[in-house]
Amino acid sequence: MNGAIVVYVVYVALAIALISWLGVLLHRDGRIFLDDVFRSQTDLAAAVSRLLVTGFLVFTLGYALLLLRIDVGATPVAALRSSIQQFGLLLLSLGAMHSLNMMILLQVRRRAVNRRGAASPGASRSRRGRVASR
Amino acid sequence: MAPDGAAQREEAGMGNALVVSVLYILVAVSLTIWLAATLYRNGLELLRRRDDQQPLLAQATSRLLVIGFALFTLGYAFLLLQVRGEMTGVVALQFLIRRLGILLVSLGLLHLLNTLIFLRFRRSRAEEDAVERGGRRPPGRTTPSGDEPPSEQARLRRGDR
Repeated sequence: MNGAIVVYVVYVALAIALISWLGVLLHRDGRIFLDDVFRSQTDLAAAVSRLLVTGFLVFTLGYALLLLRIDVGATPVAALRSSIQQFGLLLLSLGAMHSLNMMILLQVRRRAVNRRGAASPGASRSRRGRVASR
Repeated sequence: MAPDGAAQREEAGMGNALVVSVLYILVAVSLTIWLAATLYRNGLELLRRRDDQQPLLAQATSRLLVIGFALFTLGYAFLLLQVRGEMTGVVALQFLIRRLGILLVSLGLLHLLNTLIFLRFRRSRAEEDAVERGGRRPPGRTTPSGDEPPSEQARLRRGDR
């Protein structure tokens, strides 16, 4: 039973580490996209990014907790096997969610660029040049 | 710890239920406070205008939205916790984890929804601004008419055009 508990604790620790790492990554790199969307209004981009990352963290942690199935009667090996399976499921869904996030960010940026292009083609072009040279 | 009487067992179960309730409520309340504070601080940033003549309006909007969110969240959290008596330690742990998982997932979704609402508010304010200005002022030469000095973003934005 103790072995099983240890396995579950390790699962939770790994999940938390993974999720916070993803959150940091998303915040750091998503901000660059949002910076571009909000036309270098850095405060604004940071605020939106923080809000989005908070939602992502809370949702993902909850999902990881929901995946966790505790069976105290299990032998350590069985607990290990089920934990590894749960972790695999968690990784798969985090990967899917991450790609979805990427697609949303790209979409948002493309829409902003298009809108800017429709409003003032010159400004859009100069900005795009600046981004490329950054 | 091996309770033999039914009454004793029930007492132990009650103890577990109490512990679960207290832990759950602690997590729910602190999570709500944290989310509300994050939403308020960053939402304010979104609602603020460059040359804001009504700085209190953004604050009031943000606060009202956030208070609604906090009330709803707390109510939802309390409704979600339907604690049963007579839970052994393991069952209580499973129960707690499951409830926390549901709570976190729904609060995360609600938070993202709130972010969208703030962004929507921001866009409608920006449109209002555009209508008020009516295209009379050339966009490159806006002068901040509030009592605040031009902010970093305002300067960046002007340089951008």
